[in-house]
Parts: sequence; C-alpha cells; structure tokens
Amino acid sequence: MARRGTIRIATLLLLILGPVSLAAAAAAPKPPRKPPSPQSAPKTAPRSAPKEEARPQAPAGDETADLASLRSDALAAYDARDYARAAGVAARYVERARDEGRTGREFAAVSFILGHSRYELQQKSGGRYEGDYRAEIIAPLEESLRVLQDDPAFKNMLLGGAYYTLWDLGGRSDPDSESRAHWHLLKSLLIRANEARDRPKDSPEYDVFARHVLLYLDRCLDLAAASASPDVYIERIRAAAPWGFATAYDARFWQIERLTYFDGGNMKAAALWQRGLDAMQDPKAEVDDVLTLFGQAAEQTRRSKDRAEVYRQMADFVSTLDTPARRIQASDFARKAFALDPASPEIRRQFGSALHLLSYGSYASGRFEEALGQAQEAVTFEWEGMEVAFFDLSRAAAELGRESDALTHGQRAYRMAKGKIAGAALQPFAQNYVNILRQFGQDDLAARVQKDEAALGVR
Amino acid sequence: MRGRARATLILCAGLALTTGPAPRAAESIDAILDLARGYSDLMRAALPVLGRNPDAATAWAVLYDARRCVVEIDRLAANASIYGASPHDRQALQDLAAGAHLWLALYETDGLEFDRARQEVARARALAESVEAPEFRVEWTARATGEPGKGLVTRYHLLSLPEFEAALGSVWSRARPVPFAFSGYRSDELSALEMTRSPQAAPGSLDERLLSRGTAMLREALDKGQKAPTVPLPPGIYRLKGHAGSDLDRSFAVPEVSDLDPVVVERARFALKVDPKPGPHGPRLFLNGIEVGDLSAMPYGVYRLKTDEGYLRGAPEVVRFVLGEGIPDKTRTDWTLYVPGGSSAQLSLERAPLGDRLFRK
Repeated sequence: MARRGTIRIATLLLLILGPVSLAAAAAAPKPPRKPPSPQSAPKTAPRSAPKEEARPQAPAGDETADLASLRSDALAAYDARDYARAAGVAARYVERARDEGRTGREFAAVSFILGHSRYELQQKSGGRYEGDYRAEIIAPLEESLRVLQDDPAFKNMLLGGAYYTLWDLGGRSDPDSESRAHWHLLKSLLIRANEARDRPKDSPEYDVFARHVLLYLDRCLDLAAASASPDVYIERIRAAAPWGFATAYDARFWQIERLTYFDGGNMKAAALWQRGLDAMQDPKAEVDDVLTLFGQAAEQTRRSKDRAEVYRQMADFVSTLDTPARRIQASDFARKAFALDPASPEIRRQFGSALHLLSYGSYASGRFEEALGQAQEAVTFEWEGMEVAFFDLSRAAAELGRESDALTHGQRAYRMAKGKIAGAALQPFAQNYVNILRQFGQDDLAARVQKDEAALGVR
Repeated sequence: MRGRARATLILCAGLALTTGPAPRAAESIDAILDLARGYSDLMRAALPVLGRNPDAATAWAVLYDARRCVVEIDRLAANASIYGASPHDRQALQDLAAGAHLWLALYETDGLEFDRARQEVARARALAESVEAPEFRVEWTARATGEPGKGLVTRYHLLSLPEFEAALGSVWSRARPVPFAFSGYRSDELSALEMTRSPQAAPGSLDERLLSRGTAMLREALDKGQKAPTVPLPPGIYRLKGHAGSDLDRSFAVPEVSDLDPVVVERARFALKVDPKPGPHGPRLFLNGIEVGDLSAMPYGVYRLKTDEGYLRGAPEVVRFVLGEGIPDKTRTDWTLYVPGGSSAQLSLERAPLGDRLFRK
C-alpha cells in the first residue's frame, strides 16, 4: 500500500535537529486532497430550513382554489426555490387530484415537485424524518418518474440521493435502499457520461461530469463502509474511476481506484480507511473521531501488512499532536504496527520516532529512568534515524550517572549522525557528545571533538 | 457526526451540479448505442465478482444491477426505431441486448434463480440469431488481476452458446429435490431442528449457498407447519438433529445423480427380524443412502436392500416400512410393509437352493 499523509521522521525530529528536517518534511508526498465543492454551484435549497407549509397563502391556499391554481402556485414556489410553500401546495394538489381520480402528466409533474421539495426540506433540516420518508418523498418521485421521464440524469440523481438518505436514516443496513441508491446514482452517471462523451477532458462540461463521478465514488465508499456486500463496490469503483483520470481531479480518482486493491480487495476496510484519511485532512475533524474511523478500518482489515499500515497511519496522525497523552498513543499504535509488520522500514521508522518522542518528553520532564527505558526500546531494532535513539539513550544515561552507557551511546549517536548528515543538523549530536565527555572528565577528547566541529558552533 | 454534514454538503453540491448546464438528451442513434454499451459494459465489468465466491448478499447486489441494466438495454433497443436507426444499428442493439440477457442468465444462476436464468437464455435466443452462430462466444468466467497504479487485466473464459447452456445446466441441476416427511414430533421440536452437511462447503461456494437456501426453505416450511416439504439440496451427507436431549437424529445422503427416496423423520421406531440373518451375503439395508446396522430400533422410511443374488433369491430392491397397520403390498422389486410403532417386523427372504450356492460361478 502506498504511503499516505506521511509525515517523515525528520519532522518529528524537528524538536532537536533544526530546519534541515523541515525541508525533508516538505518533500514528503502528500495524499491527494478531495477537490473542493464547486463554489459557483447554485444552491438547491434555501439557507433556512422551513417546515412544509400545510396552509399555503391565498389564493392557492383557498379551499375553493381549483387544481390549475394549485398547480401554478406549486410550480411558482418551486421555481422560486421556496420548497416549504411548494411542498405544501403540491401536497394539497395531489390530495385533491387523487380524490378526483386524476392521473397523467400534470399529476406526475406536481408529484415530482412534492417529492423534490420535501427532499430539499429534509436535507436542509437534517436529522430524523418525522413522517414516512419512503411514502412521502420517494413514492411521489417514483410515481412521477414512471410518467415523466424527461431529464433522467437529474431525476435519477435525485432519486439516488433520496434512497441514500432513506438508507442513512434507516441505520445504513437496508440492502434494498442501498441497491436503489446506488443504481439511480449510477444510471444518472451513465447518462451524464453519454452526454460528456465527445467533450475534451479539460472542458468545463467534462469537469462538471468529473465532479459527478467524484460524488458517485464518494457515495460508493460510504455505502461500501456499511454494506453487507461491500466487495461489489470493487468493480463499481473500477468501472467509474477511469472516467476521472486525466481530469483536474486525477490524483483523487487514482487514489480511490487504488483503494480497490487494499487488503487484497477488502472494500469495507478500504472505504473506512479512506474515510479516516479524508477526515484526517479535515481541520474541523475531532481527533478521536478520526481515530475511531481508523480503528474500524483496522478491525476490518484482514492482512497483517495492511492492518499494520492503518496503525502506522494512526501513529503518524497522532504524532503530529504534541501532547504527552497523544505521544503515548502514537507509540502504542506504532507498536501495534511494528508487531504486525516488523520488516517495513516505514513502520520501523514510525515506531522508532514515536519512542524517541516519548523519550524526549520524559527527559524534558526530568523522568530520566523512563526516558532511558523508552530509548532502550528504540534501539532494539534498526530504523532510519535511530541515531536519535542513541542520542536519547546517552543523555538519559548521563543524567543517571551511568558513565559507560552515556559515553558509548553518545559517541555512537555522534558517529552515526556524522555518517548521514552534516551542517546544523549534526550540531546537537556533536554538542551532546562533547557535553557527556566533559561530564565524565574526558576534557581532552571533548576539546578535540569541539575543535573538529567548531564550524557547527559546538561550544 | 461530521460525516453526515459532509455527506449532505456533497449531495447538495452534486445536486447543484445537475442544475448547471442543460443536459443534452441522448438524441442520436450513436448516443443510444453508446448508452446501451455503457450498461452492457457495466454488466461485463461485474463478472469478476462471480469468481470470488460471492455470498448471498453480494450475489443479490450484483443481480440487482444486472436486471436493471438489462431493462435499460431492452428499452433502448425497443425505442431504436424512433431514432431512425439503420438495420445495422438495430441489429447491433439487438446483439447487445442478447448478450446482456446471457450475462443476466449467469447472474440469475449465481443468485440461485434458476428458472429466471432459463428464461434469460431463451430471451437471448429470441432476440438475436447471432448468439446461435458457431463463432459466437460469451463470457463464462472473468478473472481480474492488477495492482495499484497499473492497468487492470481481465481474463475471460469464453464459451459457445451450447457450452454456456451446458455449463449453466450443470449448476441448475446441482441441487436435487429432497422430499421430507415429518411426523411424531411437536412443532417446537421441529423448530429447533439443525441441519448439517458433510463435507462442509467452502464459504461462498455454490454448494454453501445452495445449502443455505435449502436450510432456509426447510426452516420456513416447518415454521408454516408443513409436514412434507420438498427442499433442493446439493449432494452430500446430511444430519438432522433436534435440540439437546432430543431423540431427533436422522442422517441421509443426497446423491450426485439418482433421485432421493423421501426422508421420513418419525419418532417411532420398530425392530426388524431378518431371515436369514444379515451376513456376508446380505441383506444389507440402506436408509436414504446410509447403511443401518442396528435392527432393534429402526427408523421408518424407504430402505434399499443389497443382497448377494446367488444366495438370496427374489429379494426386493426397495422396502418401505410404514408406521401403522395395513396389508403388505409386494411387487417383485418393491415391498411396502406396515409396522405399528414399537413393534417388530419380519423380513423373510428366500435362500437360493444349496446346490446353486455351491456351484455358482
């Protein structure tokens, strides 16, 4: 699995190693971000969330108003996106038309206004729907679509959205709502694909289509995360994702397509994993919510390598939050990842750096025994950047008066660092070694090292 | 939770998009063909799912889409004439539709909807003669291989129509109808009935799903109080067991080829005296494919006899032991014997003359 949202160890070492690491962090690959929702897109619903107006204004609200007036009034309110009024008037029209035994295109048109207006009101208000969602929103839309099949892309998109909401409101467990939600969205997409087929991929028309595909894929991930048949989404996503390749959102489409390979084609885990990654990049997201999503993904993941990658990502995410509790959490996640996939250099580095951060925190708080223990664990395996672990080890040992350990590890940290890095990043290692040498009366050697590294500012 | 708000936001954005540029209707036959191909491609793209031993929920989800796709393709094909489609284009649509119906037959079969699958094959034949052509091939299995960032490679196993039908037929006949006859047990005892099969079917395999469906059908029939349901089950050795402490314990075999005798599940037992006593030359008694050795507490049912014809002459092939009293009914190969519960029955077979036995080849 490709690395996602990786924050290099260099970032974690920033605390002691200076600005060189920051550059390395900047070079780290970033996961593609979800494209923003189109700013210019017109709103489909009013800002407020008014209730359906059961008693519309006169003249349409008049008990004696004829069907033609009700229809005109409903249409006018709908065109003005006054969905509360449109729903109220349309409901009266439908009721009276039914009493009179009327059907046909006009009835279908007003039924559509009724269903769509109620849908918009529900979307705006969110939460539970007080009535019978299927009977009051979906049924009028379906009834209308049977007779009036114009603008099928829009109507199927709407119906797909309505079924999705029904599925969501019903606890995300009804396979029938799930299948219908998916089907109508897919049908809408196919019709749109047909319309966009001759357009260049960089055209505005294709861009609109590509965003439709993104919406569809987003829904697929949502559905797959809770579905009893999540693996059907592998083929569904593979069939749709290529439509978005070479568009402005190319990276996001590839990212979603790659998900179909996660954990040997475990789409439920993949969908939860992607949800976690997306939430991780949302600045408004609660940290614990993000971790819950990742935790669910880890639970669903079957292969130890992929599960390890989830834990590694959790560790990576938590390690960016600089509090003692989060540092402990980061090392716990990294330890789990290491236990599952100890051969992964990335995981070793994550675990090592998490232990380093812990050790650093303990040292800074004067808990030198703890700092020593954490640093000792970090040198039980090899990892890129482990010179900092020896650095931690030497400092903690020095504080505890363990001369031999302090000198040995201080020298080792300095030599390892010198073999890899130069300039300002090397300074803390050299300074630490000099300090330890002096502490234990090795002034001559300290002076030699100080002289060798005078250019680094070692004092 | 944030997710909800985000989902709403995305939906609103998506719906807003639909109010953007006016959609172009699929106004040309090219567009119609493209749209039909789009649905057809979706059906084809879903074929690898079948190779992953899908569970019932997954099979149903794929079938749902496939049915919808076929409805759309049929609709487009039916309306082709209003777009002034040339005979060539009309034929292309018919061919697409026929192919889609064949795939649907495959999906219906995987969903254990065998009658519908048969109808889909017939529908494909009716739609286009091209499917009968010797060079025609249809996908039977599909295996997709790939890795992140690389192209997906799908390998198809293609069959001619007769081969395709034969392959479907082997699936359709995989489950064999098993007639049950329950008596002597209370409904609550039957409700607690558990049916197991050996060998255990692989998860998601056809046998596992057939077993799961058969088990559900049996359970439903018993819940409805049916005493003689017939349930399709895949071949194997089965065991019906009641709740702990119950004396309900009955095994039966579902054969690969021949029909199965009714599986009589009856609490009462009877003792059987066989003359001559069962020995190396028989008779051996088999109840629903399982040999019965304990003649002191025999379950009622249909027994098949195996005898050494050189030693025992004129033995029937089948003996039905029926609970109750009645006049025995005997033909040359088939006997029906009535035995009251708890009593014993006598099965007398004629020995071949000693000379025949001594000098038989």
